Amino acid sequence: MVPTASRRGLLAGMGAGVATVLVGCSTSQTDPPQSDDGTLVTDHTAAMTRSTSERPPVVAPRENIGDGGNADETTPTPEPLSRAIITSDRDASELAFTADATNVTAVRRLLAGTAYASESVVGYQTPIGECYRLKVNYVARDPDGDPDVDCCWAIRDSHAACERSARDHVAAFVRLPFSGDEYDAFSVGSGGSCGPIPERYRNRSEST
Amino acid sequence: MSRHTRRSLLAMTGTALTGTLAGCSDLNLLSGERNVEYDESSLAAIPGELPRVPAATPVQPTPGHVAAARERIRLLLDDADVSRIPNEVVRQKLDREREAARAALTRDDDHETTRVDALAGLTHPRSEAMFVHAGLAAFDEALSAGDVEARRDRHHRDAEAFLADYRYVGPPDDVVGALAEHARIVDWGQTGARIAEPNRHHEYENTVLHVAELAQDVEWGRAYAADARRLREGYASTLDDPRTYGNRFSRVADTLVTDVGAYVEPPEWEALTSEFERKVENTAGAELLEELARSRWSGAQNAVESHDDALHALAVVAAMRAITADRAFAAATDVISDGGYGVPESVAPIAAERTEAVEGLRALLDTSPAPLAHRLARYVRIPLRNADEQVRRDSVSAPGRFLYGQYAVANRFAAAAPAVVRRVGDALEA
Repeated sequence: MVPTASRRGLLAGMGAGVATVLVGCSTSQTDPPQSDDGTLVTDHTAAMTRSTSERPPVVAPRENIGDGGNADETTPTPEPLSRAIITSDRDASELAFTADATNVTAVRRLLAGTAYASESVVGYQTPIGECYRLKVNYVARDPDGDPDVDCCWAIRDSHAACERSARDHVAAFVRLPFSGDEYDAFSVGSGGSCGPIPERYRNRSEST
Repeated sequence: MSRHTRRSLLAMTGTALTGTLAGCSDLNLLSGERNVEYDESSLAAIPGELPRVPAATPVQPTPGHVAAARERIRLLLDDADVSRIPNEVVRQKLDREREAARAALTRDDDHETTRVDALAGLTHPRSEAMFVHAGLAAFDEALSAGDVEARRDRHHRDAEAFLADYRYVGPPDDVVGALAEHARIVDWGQTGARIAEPNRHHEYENTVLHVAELAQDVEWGRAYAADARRLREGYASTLDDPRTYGNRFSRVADTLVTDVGAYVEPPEWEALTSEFERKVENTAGAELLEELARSRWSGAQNAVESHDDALHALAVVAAMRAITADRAFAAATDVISDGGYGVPESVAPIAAERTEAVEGLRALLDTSPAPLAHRLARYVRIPLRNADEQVRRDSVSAPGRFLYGQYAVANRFAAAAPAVVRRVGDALEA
């Protein structure tokens, strides 16, 4: 079981690149799951938010959020989230969204509707091509029970006016059907276009 | 399905003898070849004229048939203005397919291209044009995936019915020509039915691109099946007193398929070269054996599957290829055992192999019955042509292995083919 403080520290460190150190997140956005064994998780739910400005849609709490209230109030702009695990309503309440973020209501609804005693939410924020949307390709658990959330880029609606080389930002929040206490580490990333679920997961589902 | 994958699929299903091209993608693998420096001017002097291989089919598509295929592309691309698509990624994908289809219209078929080949070369471009046409219709909400699925169901039913009702008719004095004609027609018909099958993997979720790719597949299959149907009508119109050859083709197929049944499983690649006293890995000999084994396997697979599907003419020509490859393999094994097909010290053996292959091709083209000889001659000409083109493009990275190996494949296949042509011809005439 992961101490709450670790989760707190993780949430605080989401944007500064320290999440990798704290929880062993994937260091590469293209790393596949490390084990050939694993189980597909099918009953996950996702909500996405997007921003078209230079700022990502989700701004994580300041890095000192978990220091017992001794945060430096003069700390400048909050760091943007890149990866996070959200295991409580308090974690969720500390997320902040930029003014131009879209679909925030759906994200907040997903976070508010999560039963953290038996569920948890993985957050992932990344730049994305303006003509693409982020999609959850599949979610799996390795033999240790650690989740792997594989996201991919799908082409947006043809009526969306966009340029191939332009970049937006997108954040995904994926609710998992098990609590944060059930795993020690997680990985999340996006490896490009959406493809078939890896063969090793096809017939191994714990949720169906 | 990625565009690249689609091309690969085209290679597999297009029935264009592309199996002999396998291995070309390995051309940059230099590991293992001894460090032999070949004289560049001698190498550049190797390519030369190749004998033309006439069509194997006695009745070719009419000029009007080929023109209609071109016109189909033009019609589908008419008013294909992709600039109105706001999403640049979608727009570029449509534009890329449009340009590929247009390129087929402007392609300058050389004088050696038969009308059968010209028509086959317009099959995938028709599907590319349909990708654009259907994508724009979907963008305008004038076409849905459901509409395309209904179209696919109809075409698939028609293609299956065409094969189910098939009758092998031909002139009383040309059973071999009838076999060659029907092999081509049924090959196209079967390919059309296969491509129009449901539940093929598709690449896109984007509505426009998804409808486009669905419609592209339908058009691809429809084009094959429609060409098959029209070619059969054209052939049937030439027959004054038609005979039915189904039983005879079936009998010949039974015998030939039995001969190649042992090769229906994939070769054990390592075992191909491990039986020799000397090391043959990374030599022209290894390339030669692998390519012939691949050809034998492919031919045997097609023969058995076609036989199982009662497509007897296809089974005969596929088995004929497998038997030829098997005989060529045996001959190549003997040569390699005697020390041949290593890595040559100069260009001379490579050039000599090409010369011998071209002579073999000429001899094969003089072999009777001609339709069968012409059918096998293409498996000789394709590696020759590809090897020559690599030299002309200055893209040969391992002449002593790959180039030599390709000329050797052509040479050995050409040497083995005449006996097989005569045997199958005799069986058909019996």
